[in-house]
Amino acid sequence: MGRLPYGAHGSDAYRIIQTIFMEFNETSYAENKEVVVSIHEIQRLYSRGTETVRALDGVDLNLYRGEYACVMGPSGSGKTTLFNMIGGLDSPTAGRVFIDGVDMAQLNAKELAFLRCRKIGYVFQQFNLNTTMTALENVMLPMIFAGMHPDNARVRGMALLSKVQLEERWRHRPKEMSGGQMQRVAIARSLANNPALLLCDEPTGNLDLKTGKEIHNLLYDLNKNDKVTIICNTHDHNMLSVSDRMIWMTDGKIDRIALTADVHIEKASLGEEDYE
Amino acid sequence: MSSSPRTIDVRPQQKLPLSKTFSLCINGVKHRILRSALTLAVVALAVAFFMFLQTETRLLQSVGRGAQTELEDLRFANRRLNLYTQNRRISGQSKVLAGQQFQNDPASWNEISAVTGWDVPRIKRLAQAAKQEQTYLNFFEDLPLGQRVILAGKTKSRQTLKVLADDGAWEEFLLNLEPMHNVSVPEGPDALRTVLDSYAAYLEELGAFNRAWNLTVSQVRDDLEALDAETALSESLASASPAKLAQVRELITRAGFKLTAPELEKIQSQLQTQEQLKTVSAALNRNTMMEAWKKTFQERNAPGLEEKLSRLDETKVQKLLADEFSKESLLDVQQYFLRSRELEKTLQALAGRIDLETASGIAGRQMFLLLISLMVCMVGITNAMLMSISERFREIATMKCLGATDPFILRQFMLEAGIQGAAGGLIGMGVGFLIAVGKTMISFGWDTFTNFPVGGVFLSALISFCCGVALSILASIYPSWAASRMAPMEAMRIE
Ligand SMILES: Nc1ncnc2c1ncn2[C@@H]1O[C@H](COP(=O)(O)OP(=O)(O)OP(=O)(O)O)[C@@H](O)[C@H]1O
Ligand SMILES: [Mg+2]
Repeated sequence: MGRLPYGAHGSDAYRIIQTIFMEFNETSYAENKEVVVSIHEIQRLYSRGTETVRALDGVDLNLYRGEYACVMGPSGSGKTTLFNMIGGLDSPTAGRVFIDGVDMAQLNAKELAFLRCRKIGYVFQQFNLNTTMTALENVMLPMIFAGMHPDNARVRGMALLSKVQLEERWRHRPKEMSGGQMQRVAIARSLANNPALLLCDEPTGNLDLKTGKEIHNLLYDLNKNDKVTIICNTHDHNMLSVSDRMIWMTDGKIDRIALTADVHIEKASLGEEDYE
Repeated sequence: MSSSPRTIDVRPQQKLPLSKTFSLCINGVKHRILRSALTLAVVALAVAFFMFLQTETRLLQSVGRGAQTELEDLRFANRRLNLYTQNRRISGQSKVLAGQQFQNDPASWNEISAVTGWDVPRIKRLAQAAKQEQTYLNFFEDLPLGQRVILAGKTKSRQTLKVLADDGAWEEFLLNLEPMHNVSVPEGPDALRTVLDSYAAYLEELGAFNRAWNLTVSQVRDDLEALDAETALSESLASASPAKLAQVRELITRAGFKLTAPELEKIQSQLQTQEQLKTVSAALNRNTMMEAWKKTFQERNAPGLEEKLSRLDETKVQKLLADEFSKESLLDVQQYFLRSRELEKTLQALAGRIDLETASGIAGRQMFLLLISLMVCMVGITNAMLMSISERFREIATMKCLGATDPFILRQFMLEAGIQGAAGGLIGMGVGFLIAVGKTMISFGWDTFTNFPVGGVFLSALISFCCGVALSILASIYPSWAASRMAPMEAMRIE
């Protein structure tokens, strides 16, 4: 879609045309692509006493193999909750999540553990590093769970740490590291078992521009070369610009999905002004 | 480098070998050393308390048993002489027989048989009946007064059984017994009835036995006194010549008692010490001695005899008595006197704390304390484990997110609990043991070690240790099971 003068963005007619056009693009985007995660009408309600929080309220979404999708939305819009559903860390109140055609609800505890260990990498918003372990031990943990020999795990752990420029910090424990360093350890850990699906909840939230950029490159590399499906929750323009699709959420609902190519990414125009 | 997209195929997560769980576990314990030490300390404390009480009971028991046998040994001469020369009363006789029932020593049965001239089976039957009688006598004795009066009137001991043997009284007894649900007749009322049916016959038999026994005993006494009519028996035996001793032995064994020559020598030497004690006491009590004592120690009043006897090892006292007694004989007397007094005190101190009669040897109070300590053990350990696990829900959740299976988490925490339980158990065991030994030593000195119950203490140690480990593991099962079952996100929310 061609660029329009800035002022045209506001008009209703423009918006309708834009939406139809994008939906058309999105549909054609889906062709010849395999669905890896399929979400059907999921709801996640939290009830506290009489009031209910609808963290997710009827989300329908397909994620395709090998794509790089970015989720955006204001704080509290349900991004983390959605990631937890996809990662099998929490179960929906209603609706279903299929991963490679398998209904998550049908998996037993061991199969879920396998999935979390080998197939899904998760970068937590709060890192969730094991505080009693060193950076290297943290990165090695999923490999140990996967049954890898500790020696091999150590070698691979060091390689992953050097990918996030922390090889010199391998001995340090989380409380001896900065927020950005912990975040990078969390990223290295998520890659431990070569996951097919990577869920990154604000992976660059604590990083400076330069380090953040290195992480983008790393993720971009993984996506393009290793064909890892990546879903990323971010507000970082650099990261958005390399993604395939963008998904906007508000109040537990998907607001809009668009191909990145169709969206005019500029610092001022991410469609975010709509929410502000 | 370009590869095909990674696919997601779902298989069950594999099981981790125990060694890996173990190393992860050790790692956790090491890096939470303060918290682990706290948990460990709780376990150690609880186990130490338990171990201490057990060991103390066993030590007191062994001290008590030791004191009892030693005292019996010190009074060997008197016990034996009483046996040979004192007539027994019927009630005493039935008690002796009832006690004899517990002995498996054929020689002692034969001895009774030889003394009374009865055959062994007849004596055994009588002893059996005496034991039954004793059971019921004790039963009535132990009843609260009110119930006893209702059941058996104001009669006492043997009279009770005699009265109950009567038909009318028996029926009334049964009627009165019916509503007393807390009273249970040993082996049931029917057994008591059987005993009562043959009670008259039993009493007659017992009387006959007693007469036969006393006849022999009187004979022995008369014969012994005839040997030396002038002096008292103990005195004459103490100074008897070997020839005369042989004569005495001949007399006693002829009556049917067993008495070896060394035993008689032991009796004699003990009697000598006792005689010596008597003369020393007499010497110390003389007025002249009182004056001499006051002068020597420059005291206004001379102390009592006991005090004087206990100071026989002082040079000044020995000087006072030097004309009549040698230093050795004084020390001998003092040793005998002090030792028997000490043993009596020990037994007195132990009364109520341990029960030397029963097999377990644990008196009610001690048992109660043991149970309490076990309870403390349980509550303390459970609490420590609950705390240490609930603190770590977030860690557990993270592990689950990274692919830990539920059994892995369960095993990890149980292993951790086991390690802490074992370490705490070992420390507690040692500490409890040392405290128990120390405390017993403060009260009873080196007597603690004379009959040291090695096997018993070892058993206590084993029990305490196992208790510590088992309780730690048991107490950790529920919280770790609960933690392992939680969905990761749910667990993460609990802080
Ligand atoms: N355990 C919970 N109990 C109650 N409400 C919850 C719980 N977890 C999340 N919520 C609510 O669900 C909504 C979505 O939360 P979520 O964490 O998914 O937001 P988010 O989009 O990740 O926000 P942010 O960008 O700040 O991380 C929020 O309104 C939040 O209050
Ligand atoms: Mg979030």
